Amino acid sequence: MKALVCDDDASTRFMVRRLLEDNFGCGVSECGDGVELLEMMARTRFAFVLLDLEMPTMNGVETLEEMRHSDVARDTPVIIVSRQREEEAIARLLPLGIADYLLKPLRNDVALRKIEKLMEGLPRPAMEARELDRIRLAADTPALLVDGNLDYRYFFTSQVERYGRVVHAESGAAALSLCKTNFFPLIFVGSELGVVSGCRVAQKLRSRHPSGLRIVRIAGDDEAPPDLDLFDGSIARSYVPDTFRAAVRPYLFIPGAFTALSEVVPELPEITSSAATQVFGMMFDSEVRSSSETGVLPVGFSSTVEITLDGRFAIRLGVHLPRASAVAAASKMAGAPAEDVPDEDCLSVAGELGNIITGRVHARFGERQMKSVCGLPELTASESFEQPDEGNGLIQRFTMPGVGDFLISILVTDHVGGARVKTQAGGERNPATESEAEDVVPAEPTGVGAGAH
Amino acid sequence: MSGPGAAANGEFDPSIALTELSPGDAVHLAGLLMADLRRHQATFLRAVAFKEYRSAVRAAHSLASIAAAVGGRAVSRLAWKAEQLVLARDWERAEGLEQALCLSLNTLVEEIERWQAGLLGRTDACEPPDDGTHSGGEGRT
Repeated sequence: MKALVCDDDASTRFMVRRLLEDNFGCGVSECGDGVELLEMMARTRFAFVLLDLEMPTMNGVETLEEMRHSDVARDTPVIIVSRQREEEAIARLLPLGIADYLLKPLRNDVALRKIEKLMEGLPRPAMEARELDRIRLAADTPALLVDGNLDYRYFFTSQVERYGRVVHAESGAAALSLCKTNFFPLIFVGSELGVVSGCRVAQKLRSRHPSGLRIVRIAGDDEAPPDLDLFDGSIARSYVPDTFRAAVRPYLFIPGAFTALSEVVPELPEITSSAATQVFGMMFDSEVRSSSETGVLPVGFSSTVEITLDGRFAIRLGVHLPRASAVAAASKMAGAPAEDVPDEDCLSVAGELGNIITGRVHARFGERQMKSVCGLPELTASESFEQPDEGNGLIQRFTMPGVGDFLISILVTDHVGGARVKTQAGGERNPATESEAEDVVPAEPTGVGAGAH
Repeated sequence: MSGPGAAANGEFDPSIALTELSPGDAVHLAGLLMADLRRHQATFLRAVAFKEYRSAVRAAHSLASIAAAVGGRAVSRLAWKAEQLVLARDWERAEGLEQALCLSLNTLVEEIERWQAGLLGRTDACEPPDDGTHSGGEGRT
């Protein structure tokens, strides 16, 4: 569960963070004003927000008003944390739907009681319940590895960092110290920990975080089974990548390629979709709409372009037109009767649409200072288009009056954390990615013929 | 948690804001409190100089509240008074209060800093000089 604390005073943010992490095992993100809050809420889903009223740039009331008008934050529970004691000011907040009100300076007992009450009433979506079994690592929720052996730490990191961040501690004492200022939802406790043993580390952390924490013992061959009151399970101390990955899989959420991409650039489907509706619409003087049709769409002409994003993802963007749509589009563009349109013109239309999509994607990533490399477009003229089976992705279907239906596909053919991948445009390949095929989960349904989903 | 230098002048009282924290967290929070106080002080001075009503009210209000949270009664009282003057748009008297407010703030921040140094074990900064007449912490900025 993630909470967002919005306050311009770093001291208040720090106190609230400690309170939430120590008592509820929450992941906590911080921001200093309303503008930042709205930006963060557009990117990440938070279970609840603690919001200050007196802030520069955009104050708490303005922020709350914006939240209530936004699609993503409309229903997010908000606890106001403020020095404002005047009843009139507090009454003005009630129509904006606040969950509770905490007065500054914070009193721990009052704050605990109110936050606990709020959390009891929070809905727990099914998705979250499933993911509790396998912890999902992210930049602000890394795993902690406690192990005295440098070689093992190096090996462990090389394996797990593909799926998220890993923080190291080389001794039990260092781990306890790290855990005072950071919250780690998943902790792997190994051996050679010095004065503070693995059991002691687990005991101390359990007392600090009675819930929301998973501690896994890394056991050597000659070690006794771990105490199940302290540890949630154990994995064998193996240096064999396949064995290791199989062992951590029950504890770690390993995202498929498209899921991993969506976490980094969630707006990619929106970018391609807006290019299709806006630019294609202008080109063909027609209103392009997203279609919910799921029937089979035989594809006649395709244009696919490969993009490497940030050196981490190989993405294949494609525009796929049924023969009739391609002919109608080419006829409109050339101003010639449909029966006079040759196949080459249909292919050119597919290529042009592909280039527009790619141009939009490049422009947006450039804005975000993310590096992308474009491969050469690959054009195909065929009666059907089959989705490559080495990746997963998303297929969006659109309809254009006067032209017909078409598809845009986003397929992630390779991904790896922090290492480089190869594309048609050239580049490097990290050998580690070669063994990742098993982690690439096909999206459902997978076939282009199945249409959008 | 209390520590060396606590409530030396009846200003800073760590037992109010910093109890139940580990020494590391308490030191960190003390640093944040000082930074917040200084930031609001700067905002208040600028806002009064340029007669920026909202900023001045907010800064004075925050100063009063943070100071109260750490036992800084003098700062809290003066900041509250400053807030009332700004609310009444009495800029001249608010400006007249600045010097006293700044002096009080300096004292409060110095006490927090001294307490923080004591907790950190940075006795080198507070150690008495050779003649043994030093009362601890004086002369630190």
